This record gives sequence, C-alpha cells and structure tokens, in this order.
Amino acid sequence: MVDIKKPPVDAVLIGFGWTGAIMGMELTEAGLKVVALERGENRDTAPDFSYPRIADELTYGIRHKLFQNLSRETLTIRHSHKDRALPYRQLGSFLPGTGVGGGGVHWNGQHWRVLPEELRLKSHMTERYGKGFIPDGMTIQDFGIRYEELEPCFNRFERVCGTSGKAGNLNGTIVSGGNPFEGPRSQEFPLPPLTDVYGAALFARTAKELGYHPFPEPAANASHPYTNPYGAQLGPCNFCGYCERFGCYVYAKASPQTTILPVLVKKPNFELRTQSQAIRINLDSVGKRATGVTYIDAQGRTVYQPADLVVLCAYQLNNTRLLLLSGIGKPYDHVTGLGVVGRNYTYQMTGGVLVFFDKDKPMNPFIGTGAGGQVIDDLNGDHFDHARLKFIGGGYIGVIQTGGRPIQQMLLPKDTPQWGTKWKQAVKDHYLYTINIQTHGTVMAHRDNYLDLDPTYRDIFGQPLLRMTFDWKENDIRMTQFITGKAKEIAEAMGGKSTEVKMKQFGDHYDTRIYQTTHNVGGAIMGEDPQSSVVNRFLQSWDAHNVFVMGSSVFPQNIGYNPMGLAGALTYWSAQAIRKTYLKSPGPLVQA
Amino acid sequence: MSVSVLGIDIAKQKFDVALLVDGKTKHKTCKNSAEGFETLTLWLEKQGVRKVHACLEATGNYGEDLAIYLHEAGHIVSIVNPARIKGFAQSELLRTKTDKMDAALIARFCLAMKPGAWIPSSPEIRSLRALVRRVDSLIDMRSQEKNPDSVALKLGIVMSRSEISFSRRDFLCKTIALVPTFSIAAYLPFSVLMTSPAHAYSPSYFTWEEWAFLQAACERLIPTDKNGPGAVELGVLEFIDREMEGAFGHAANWYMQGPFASALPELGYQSSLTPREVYRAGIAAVDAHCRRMLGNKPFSDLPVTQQDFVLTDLENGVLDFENVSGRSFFGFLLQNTKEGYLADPIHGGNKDMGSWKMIGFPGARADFADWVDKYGARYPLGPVGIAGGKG
Repeated sequence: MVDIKKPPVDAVLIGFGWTGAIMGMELTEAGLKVVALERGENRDTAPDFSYPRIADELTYGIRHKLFQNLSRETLTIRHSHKDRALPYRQLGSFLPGTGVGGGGVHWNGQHWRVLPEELRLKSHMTERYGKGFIPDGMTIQDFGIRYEELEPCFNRFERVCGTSGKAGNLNGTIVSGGNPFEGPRSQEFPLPPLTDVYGAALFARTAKELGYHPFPEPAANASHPYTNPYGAQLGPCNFCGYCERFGCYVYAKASPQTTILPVLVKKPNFELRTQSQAIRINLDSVGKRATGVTYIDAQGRTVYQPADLVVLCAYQLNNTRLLLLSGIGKPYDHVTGLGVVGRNYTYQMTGGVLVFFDKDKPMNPFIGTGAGGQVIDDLNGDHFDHARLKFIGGGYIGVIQTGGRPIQQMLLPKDTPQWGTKWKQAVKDHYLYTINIQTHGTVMAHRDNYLDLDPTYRDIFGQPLLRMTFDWKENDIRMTQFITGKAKEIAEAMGGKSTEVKMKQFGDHYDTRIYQTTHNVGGAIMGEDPQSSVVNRFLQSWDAHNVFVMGSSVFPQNIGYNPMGLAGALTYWSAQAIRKTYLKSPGPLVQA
Repeated sequence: MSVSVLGIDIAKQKFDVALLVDGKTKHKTCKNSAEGFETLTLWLEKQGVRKVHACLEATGNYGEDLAIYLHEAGHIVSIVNPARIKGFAQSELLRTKTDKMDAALIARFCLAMKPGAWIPSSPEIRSLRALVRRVDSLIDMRSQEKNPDSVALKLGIVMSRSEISFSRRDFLCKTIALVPTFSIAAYLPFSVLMTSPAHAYSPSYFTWEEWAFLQAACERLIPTDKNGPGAVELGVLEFIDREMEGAFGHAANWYMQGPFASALPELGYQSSLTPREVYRAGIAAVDAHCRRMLGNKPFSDLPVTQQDFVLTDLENGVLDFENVSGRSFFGFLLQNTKEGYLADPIHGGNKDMGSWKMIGFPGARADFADWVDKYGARYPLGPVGIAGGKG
C-alpha cells in the first residue's frame, strides 16, 4: 500500500552518513538528480553540537542522545544457531548512529587505510603458510581489489577529511616518523600530526626502546586550520575530551557536516529527506533490477520513490537487513554454506593494559582528542611470522587518549569494590594517574557467525528485525592474547607502579552489555564471484545491477584497523566506477 | 459522576484530541497555547462533558502546560510512556498513522488500561524548569543568529573559542545588565538557579517512603567521608528522581517489545520493566524483606552494617524477588548513583561540582590546547559546569 508516489529521480541514497555524503557529492557532480533518504533528523554543528551543552557526558556519552533509538528498531543477538536470539534492548557493545551525518558525527576520527595483504588475505596466507593454515570453519576471502587500485581513493578521502598524520611509506620509500609497515602513499598527510599527550609520548618512547616502530595515529581531527578540496574549512582540535559519542563543536573533527554537506546540500540536483525510513528496495517483475525505494515519511505515510540507481549507504547492519527484506541476493544458509546475504559477519577484537602511575605523574586523562596518540603496527597484518602462532590476523597497540569523562572513562584496578568508601578512595587515587594502552585487532570470518532475519521480533513498522549469530572464536582469542601480551611488556617498561591486562579469555562469550567498538562488518561482502559475495569489486550487486552497497558491510572479514578509512575509500572507488562506466552503459560491471 | 476519556496527541504548535462519549469518538484540533486550552474547555462544555480522564504521551515538554492546565481544572491527567501506547497500537494491529488516529488510539489506551494519575511538580520546580528551557532556547536562537545554516563554514570563518564559549550564566548576567526590563530578567531568580543554595527538593516520582530508602542506600553506595562529599550531599537523589521522569526512567529509547525471556547475562537487559518500575518494585521488595527478616524495620532504619549486607546480597544476586530482579534493581541504583555523582550539575546531582573537585576533573572546560604538552604538570584550573558555575 503506497500513499504517495514521487516523480522518478536518477539516484536514491538510503542513509546519509559518511558514505551517503560522499556518494551524494559524486553523483551530483556527474549531473544526476539525487535524493537522500535519512531515517533520523537533521543535525549541524550549530546548534546541535554547540558549546557548552555538548560538554555533557550524561546526555551524549551515557544516554546516547545522538545514537539509534532502539525503541524503533534494533536487532536480536545469540551466540550460536542453537540458542534463542533476544533483542538488543539497550545500547551496549556497539552504538549505531542515526540522523544526518550518521556515525560520522560521533566517531573518533581514527583514519586508517588498510594493509595491502589484508585485501587479499586468503591468497596471501595460503601463499606464505600453505593451504592447511586456514582452519576448518574459517571463511575468510579476498576483497577482490588491490591496494594500488584503491590508493588514489584513500588519498582523496584523507584530503577531504584534512587528516593529521605522518607518512611512513611515500611512493615506496620508507620515511622516518611514520608507519614503516603501511602500503605506499602517493602523498604526505594533508596535516602534520596532533601533539602527543603525556601518556602517548611515554608509550612511544618505551616502545621504541623495546625495538618497535611507534608513529602518530592518523587522525581526522585537524591539527591546524585546513580547507579541503570542496572548500569546506576545519579549525584546529583543542583536545576538549568530548569526541567519540559527541559532535565536534570546534569544527575540527572531519564529519559529513564539516567537510561535505555545506557544499552538497546547496546543490539544485540534490534533495535530502530526513525522517524518511526506507523499508524496502523495490524490484522489477523478474527481480533483476531495482525500480525504486519504499519508505515511511515523518508523517507515517508510505512513499514510493522511483529511481534508476539505488545506493545503500546505511549502517552495516541496516544495509544487510534491507537486502534481506527486499529479496536482493540469496540469503546465507550456515548449514549448507550456500547463499551470501548475511554471510561473514565479523566484529573487532579489543583489549588493553592499564598502567597505574604514582601521584607525582598526573596523566590528565581529560586532555583528549578522538584519534591523536601513538601506536605501533609491528604486530598487525602479516608484519610478523604467524607460522608458529596458530592464528591469522593481528592488530595495533597504542595510547589514544580520547578523554577522561568520569562516568564512562574511569579506569580503576579490577579488584576495586563497585561502591562504598573503598570505591571512592580508588576513584580519588587513580582518576588522574592512569592510562590505557589499547589493542585493536582483526576478527576472522567463520561459517557459523552470520546475520539473517529474526523469526519473532519486529520493528515499529512491523518488519522483522535482523538477527545476529556471533561468538568469539579461538583464532581471535589467540590473536588478542598474543598482542595484548606484547602490550603488557611495553606497559611494564613505562615506569608506572603497576599494570593490569584486560583481554578476552578462551570460553568468553560475546558480551553485548559492554561497549567494545561500533565496527560491525560484513553481511553484504564484496568479492570475486556471486557464489561467495553479495557485491562485486565495484560494490555493485551481483543480482540487481543498479543496486550498490557501501560501507563496512562489504568487508569479507575485519581488518586490524578501524574501518572508516577503508569504507570511505571504497565509496570513492565505487562512485568512480559508476561515473566512468556504469552511467554510460548501465549493466553488470563484472560478468559473473 | 461519570468520567469521559480524552486522548491527546500533542505537538509543538497544536494538539489533537479524541473524546470517547457514548461509544462514539469526537475529534478536535486546538492550538498548543493558552488560547487553545480555552478552546478545548469550551468544546468539552459543548459536548456536555464536565470531567475527563485525559491521557497524553510523555514526549518532551510540549504537553506540560496543557497537562497542568487540565490538572488545575480538576480533570484527571495521565502521562504515559509512548512505548506503552505503541505496544497497545500493535495489539490493535494498527499501521497507518495520523494525528487524529493517534489521539483516538491514546483515548482507547486510556479507556482500556486506566493509567495512573499524574501529579505535577511543585510550582517552584516547574517555573525553574521553564526558565531553564527558556534560557536554552534563547541561547539556541543566539547561536543560530550568529551562525545561520553554518555560515561560518560558508564564509570560511572558524569561530574563535571566545566567541562561542558563552554560558547561560554569562548570557543571563549580560542580558540582565544590559536590558533590565527584558522579560525574563524581571522575575528570573538566577541566583537560585545557578548557585543552587540548599533548597529542599521534593521528589516528583518517588514517595517519601521510597525517598527514605534512597537516602539511606545512596549514602552507603557513595558515603561522605574523609575523601570528600557523598552521593546524598551532592544531590544524587534529586538526579535519580528526575531521571525517573525522563526518557531513562521510562525506557523510552529501549526496545521494549515482547516476548520477554531470560537469557545469559551477556545478552543484556531482558525485562519488561522500565527502570522506574524496577525502582518502585525493588524498593518495596527490599523494605518488605527488611521488615520480615530484620526486626520489622525498613531498610532506612537498619544499622549501616546491616544495610551494607543487604546491598551486598542484592549486588551478588543472593537477595532476589519474585516480581523484580534484585540484581537489576541494584544495577540501576548503583549506575544512577554514580551518574548523578559524576555528571554535570545541570542534571540535579554533583552539587557545586563536588565530585569533580575531589578527583580533579575540569568538567565542561573542554579546551586544553595549552596544556597538551605540559607533561607531568597538574592542570591548574578547577572545574566549570555547563550552567556556568565554577568549582
């Protein structure tokens, strides 16, 4: 039942965060008439992120003002297909965004690329360690794209964001001060690194003494004033300590609002419709081509928007769910291993080591920036010999001090009582004098970790929720124990009075209550053939050639780094293929 | 006297009402203003209705004036969690949605579910809240004036900190100094608002019996001691009471559709009870337990060592109840106590930024560019709050 039918447009974007903003810019530049459908509300730096009200930990950091409202839609979660999945009723482990700018508003700005070997992980591991190295049940595969092809897109996205950092590999030459393990860059970062906070400087010094190669984490937090290629201006980060979970009030953090929207929303061939929740992509009678998108508008009316091109730019979970709800691509069946939509859902493995210092060394944890800090990449990707380690993957280790907000970011020894005089004593003793060395690493795809539609629970529109079946696997626990163990060695050499490791143990179940990361990936993965992927190397659906899927939904397994840099670059990559090839002759860009 | 049911769908500018009389539904749309309220009264009289049980959703502030108006006119008013009405709508299999239909839906909900009567906060609290909202909206207007549609970006200007970092207090002081006849300055007790003298707070959600429990429990969770002020001293009770009346207390942003089932703790909260329902049931259950097992006294009358035993048993799941999880109740109580203790004072707790001063957190200063590379040096400035107070 449709209440309103809109006049046709050239392209519809579902979701208006980072990938929607990039795609909107690219397609309008190509002359297309583009409509973006965003389920949430409009937001801008002023008034939505204005000081002083944004400096409110309770409202934004704890009550999640800027995040998805789960009363409208959520997902269900279980640890194995034998369990009953139950709703993710309260936000916990991950925090999907909503509204204009999406997660781009309240991310930290940790702006990584990808390691060249991670794009062809299965091939690389097989070549170096033999076919038997990949354990049974692990379903990793190649992205189907090479680093060199993507490099210009990484470079482009970094210039749009005004990313601060130091190159470690410029056109194949290793440059001191940067990450010597990274893939070659064609250009230096647009801005120099942010100043290190004390904890980061201590970490870098100690790591270097131990033979590692520390470097400043690439940060989409401007270290200096900057004008990007679209003409949007950023101001310098002032280390306010209200970054992730908050909007940036000083125009320093790259977000759609600070880098793209001031230009895009003024274009005559662009239209943004907020509070417009896409509920399905409509297909033609043979199910091979999208005809448009059906959505519910702010007044609850069902609207049909015909379009020649449909680009899924929503959050990873929502992209996968919309494909399933629309019947695009064959749903994955974990029993037979056949089907693709929902396959290879993965997450991010995090751990850390707390270092407690004496009272003569205040660490001033409240001096924070989303992504500034010092890290090492020696234990990421395949930068170390995996042969005897019996795991695939790795991660980075470092001190990235995002703030000292006292409700969420109070770091205490784990034997501290949760309340009473002893708790209070611990808070007073440790708040100023503790840092966290974090470890952030891969999660490999496994046959029985996947997404499908829940048979029981529904959203406010009556549509089935997505169901996540996920638990930690031995491979990934081995990985985190290895790298977190190395982090502990660094921690112990940093001159604190004690250290404490926080990491997953064998047998631990995925815990939905504790925030880990919002790096949910997979479910609509890219790849080399339609039997093992949902979209081809240009992020085009194998099944409906005028449907493209953006974002981390396309990662076949998770990488060691934070995903946004890769997701942004892939969006430019896909947009380029649409502009250069697809629009001239609409049809499959890769023959199945 | 028979009471008719009036469902109200409230919006910023207007509200739609649906009156259930003699099995029929009558509709009316009125402006959300004093004039509109009068229109409603006249319309109700015309329908021959003297007293109604009015029901509206708890959605921000838009409905507060109307609720107070109806309450003062002697009607019964219920303010209901939108999630409950949504659940009710699903039981009716309703999909399409208009304001008119919403009002009728709310009326049917009210008729079927007979939600409890709402009691307004004291006039002082209301006027203070209204003033705070007014100041917020003035600050918003000023921000928008200074920065319409992010002109800073269009013009390539990045605003300096001094320009954008004004507080409500600065704003009020300047406003009052410059324009003494400005409407809000005429009656704005900003000294009361901003410097928060030890005014007695009357709970809005909790009963006095519940209040006594909270006073005792919060004092044990974060006691006043040699290290600094405790939870009660910093106004954590006021914070929790306010939270009960907001989105948190009503679980307004949580997925609260059934079926409900118990699960591994790792799958998170799975109860059908909202936090305010958990508090209500939890306090009653703990007090009943104490009366039965510990000498016919409520929790608040027990010696502190016994109070600590009871809290520890709740925390560990040893003390549990048929109608509410002891662990969930303790979880909310501890979480909210810490939140109230450590959050900005605008939320009602952390008076005078007492906890921030104790731990060395500078609060809403949010600008440390000058201190990033001062390694090992203590930050020299005390905290500030969002409302402009200094610790």
